Amino acid sequence: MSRQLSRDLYHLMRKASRRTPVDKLRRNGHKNVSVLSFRDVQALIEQAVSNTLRRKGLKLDGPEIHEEVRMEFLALMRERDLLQETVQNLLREKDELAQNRERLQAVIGQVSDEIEEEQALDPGQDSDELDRMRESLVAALKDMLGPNADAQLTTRAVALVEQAVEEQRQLTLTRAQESHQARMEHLERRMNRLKTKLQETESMLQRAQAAGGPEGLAGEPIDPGLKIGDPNFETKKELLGEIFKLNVELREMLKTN
Amino acid sequence: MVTTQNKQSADSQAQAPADHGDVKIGNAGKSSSAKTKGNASKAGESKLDTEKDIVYIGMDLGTSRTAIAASNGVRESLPSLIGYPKDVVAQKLLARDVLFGKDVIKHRLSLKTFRPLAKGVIKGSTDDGVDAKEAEANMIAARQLVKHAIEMARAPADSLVYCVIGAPAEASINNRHAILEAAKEVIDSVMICSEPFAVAYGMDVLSDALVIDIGAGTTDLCRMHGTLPEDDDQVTIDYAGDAIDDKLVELIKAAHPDVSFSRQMAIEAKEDFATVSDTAQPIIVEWPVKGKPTKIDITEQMKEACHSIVPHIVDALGEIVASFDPEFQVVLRNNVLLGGGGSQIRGLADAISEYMGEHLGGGHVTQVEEPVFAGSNGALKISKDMPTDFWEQLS
Repeated sequence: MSRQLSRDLYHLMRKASRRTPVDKLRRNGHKNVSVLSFRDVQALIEQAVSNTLRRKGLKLDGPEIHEEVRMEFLALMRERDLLQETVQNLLREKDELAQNRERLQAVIGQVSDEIEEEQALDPGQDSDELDRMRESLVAALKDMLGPNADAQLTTRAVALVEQAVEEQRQLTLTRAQESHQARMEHLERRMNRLKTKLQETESMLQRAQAAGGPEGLAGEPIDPGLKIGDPNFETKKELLGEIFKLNVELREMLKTN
Repeated sequence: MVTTQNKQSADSQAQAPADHGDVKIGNAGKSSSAKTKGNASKAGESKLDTEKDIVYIGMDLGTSRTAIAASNGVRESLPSLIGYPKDVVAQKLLARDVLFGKDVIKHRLSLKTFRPLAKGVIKGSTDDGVDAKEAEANMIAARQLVKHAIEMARAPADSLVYCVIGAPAEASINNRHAILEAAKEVIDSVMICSEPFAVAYGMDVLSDALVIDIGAGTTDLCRMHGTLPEDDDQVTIDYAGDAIDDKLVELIKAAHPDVSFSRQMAIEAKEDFATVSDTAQPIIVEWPVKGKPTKIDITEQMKEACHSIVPHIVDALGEIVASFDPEFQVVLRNNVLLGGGGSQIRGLADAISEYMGEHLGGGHVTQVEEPVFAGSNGALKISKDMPTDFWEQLS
């Protein structure tokens, strides 16, 4: 294997590997650890590539083949890095989508409340005010004309006032209805837009969840509980029992509080 | 990324309450499984639960840093910080409702930040003068932090998650309650134990030893003598990482009055260069002087600030050793373990040993491996050693 390829392999394998302190393994109860040296890994890769090439009638020699293998290896590692990055991005995106969905649901709730409030409004609620205005205008008119005024003139003047007030009533009502209608339409349009957005977000979230990468990291199988062979077995057993007892007491205290 | 996964779990729990009765949970999530377990254990279905994968988690909930170690190999730590976008603009920019750890430091100008723990306990849970509104906000932030830390373990949705949380030795009932409440939303069973004890357990040092856990707010000293430490075995002093930060800021300001720097800049310098060693390389930082980046030598200030906690720690050590059985005092003095994020100061173990020699007539301090994870590693070990039926009874 060429020195360049060997060096690249070494660096890439170091980059891809996970480091675990020996003491951690010891604490986890591992007494023997299988070790495969980099040289052995290198030899195995070389052997595998060489065997495959031989079967295909090719030979692993010459700088071109070495360079090609090196490039292939680098490409695989890049692909792996890209894949990891993609998974990270997807998970981030999924997180953002879930938050967006929550926000949209909250806004939809608010808009829905606004629609209900708007529906409860009566656009003709100003008519009482107009009635009062009509009555005061008629009274003022009669007062102004005095008790000796021509009855016909008074009736005509009152009719004119009433007609003007009625026209105003119609105008106000129409404007209120139009405004109410416009507001309702605006709210409904907003609601529809939000619902469409929510639908889109939910389907995007579903897609992101389907492609959501690793489901989590499972634990290595562990035989739980203290091992009899532990040098401090009795002391630890007693201490663990005490921790458990204290936690039971804590829960009981919380229940009674 | 894990947040989403667990958010999913929470969603599925909210949307499909009927799943609670189903022991074979599949993707129903941890929350569902926790509820299921609670409901199902009476129905004699715990046998099925034991057939599921179990992920054990050990957590060290610290004032400055929270660390987790899990049986699936995940080990993570984050600054114990939470931030919420200050306004709609910040929310849109950050595209998140809540940020944790380093992200909070990075975006702190756009965030309302919380460091929910102070002096080892949740702010406002004790009579510490914090008003009720702030206390409630801190409690919520602490819960979110615990939840986030557990989610970082990336346990599969259908596995059982058992967690031991190392809480400060003097944590009140309210604190423990808040921790339990936060944890139970995302895990199946949880236990709380004293943090210094977790460090000692992780190192298999259960008797005739003293554990010093230097955090941000407090330094906890705990005597181990083969039983669970009681109040008399534990001393907490307020001289820890925060005190060093204060001292460092004060000393640099006095020595270099023209330099513009923030507390955060001093903290970052401390994280990179903290030392009490005389042989250390000069510590040079590039900070602005009248707007111009200038190289400043802060070696002496750093050493003095970092050393400032040593006399207080040795005083407390003396106190805790003196109150022990005279026959074992020498053994105890010579078996001091130094852990916690604050113990990463170069040369600190030797400095404490030296100071003990001068003032207590001798002593030997050993720094634990991986100070940041010593508590969580120990808590993980406790969780794995704990009998399964204990876990089931508490679920």
